[in-house]
Amino acid sequence: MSRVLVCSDRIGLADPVIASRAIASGFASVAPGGHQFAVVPLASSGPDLGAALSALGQETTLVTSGDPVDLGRRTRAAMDAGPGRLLVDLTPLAEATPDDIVGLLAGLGIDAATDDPGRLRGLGAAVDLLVILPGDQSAHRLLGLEGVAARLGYAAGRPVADVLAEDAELARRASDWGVEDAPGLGAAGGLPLVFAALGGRLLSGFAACVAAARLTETLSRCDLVVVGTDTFTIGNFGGPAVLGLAPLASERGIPCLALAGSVDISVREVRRHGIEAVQSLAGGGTLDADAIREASARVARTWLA
Amino acid sequence: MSVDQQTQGIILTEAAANKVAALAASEPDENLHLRIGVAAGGCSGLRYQLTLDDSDLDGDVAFEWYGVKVVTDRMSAPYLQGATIDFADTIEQQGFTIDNPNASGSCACGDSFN
Repeated sequence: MSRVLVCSDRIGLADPVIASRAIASGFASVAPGGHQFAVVPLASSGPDLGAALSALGQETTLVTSGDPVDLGRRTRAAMDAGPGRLLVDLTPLAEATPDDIVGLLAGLGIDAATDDPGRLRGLGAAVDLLVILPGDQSAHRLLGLEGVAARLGYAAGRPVADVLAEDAELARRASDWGVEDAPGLGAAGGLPLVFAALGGRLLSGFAACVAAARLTETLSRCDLVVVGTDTFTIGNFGGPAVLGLAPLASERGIPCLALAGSVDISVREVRRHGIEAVQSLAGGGTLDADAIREASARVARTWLA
Repeated sequence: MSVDQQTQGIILTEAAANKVAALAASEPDENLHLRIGVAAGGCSGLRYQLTLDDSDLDGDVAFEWYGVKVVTDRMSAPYLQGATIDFADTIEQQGFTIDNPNASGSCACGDSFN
């Protein structure tokens, strides 16, 4: 008997919750009663993430916008609605700059120039705030040569004096709000600084799902990991779900099998990154739950014999 | 290569100092100094920026070698502690070179490091 952990991001028409259940259902149909399955949806942002966290028992209010002022207004409205868990998704603002901090504050009802720093800190007192960072920016720091002012400023060819001034302004804000620099604070133009001042926790969508599912505990008890994703190419390496899960499985010596709507990567590259095999579900963007279930059952026959 | 001994900071060899002085003398502006900075970029992650200017930024760290002033900004200073700027004009190499003990690796062109 094997204990199988099934995790999936969106595949085709199926969101992570539906895709994960379809894969598990397909595997279970091949070995009824003979194996145990744990099902964990994985998502990186947006409504998929909200649905995944809800399926994992964490009801959240999702707030997102591609405009910092609008994001501020939506966040303030959600906070004023009362206690609860609030999920602020910053992925649409991955290209924001430090100039957008003033707009975000304005949306929150804070005058950046005149309001007491304690007023911002008090706004988020009753809310459990999760801030979802753009997936490839989770390590970005706020200050210094590797901080957002230097990273964006020098890339744009700005003079040293301007970069230093902006870095100093960010440092002042962080000090006023009692926030210490940390990985992720420099994501999305430094906007997470404001949410950190509100008491928010910064993490990627994948990390939020891992925490909600207590995934590392489940991993330590499973014999096989199956991860689903929409596309698996040399460019994306399966996306956040595979990139996040494969190392966790590999460091525990657990074989990891990837199922993808479409595959365009060599076996050698896949094995180098801790994936035993990647199987195509042969459907790409048109796959629905039934097709995923059926294709997964075919794959399962060679793995759970 | 001769180096006037100072205990810390950025080191400018005599050859580099002489070259900077010559370049500054050919410029119409007076009071120019060598500014060296570090910025993200290049093939190894960080890259050096060398310019002649007369700016005096808040937090600047300055050293003087052979009568020539070399300046770096407060953000770059930690990455340049103990770095030596030399000037070579040989058949194998021409231009300013930077030997930085803080660099764990660099690219073949010498302009980028990590």
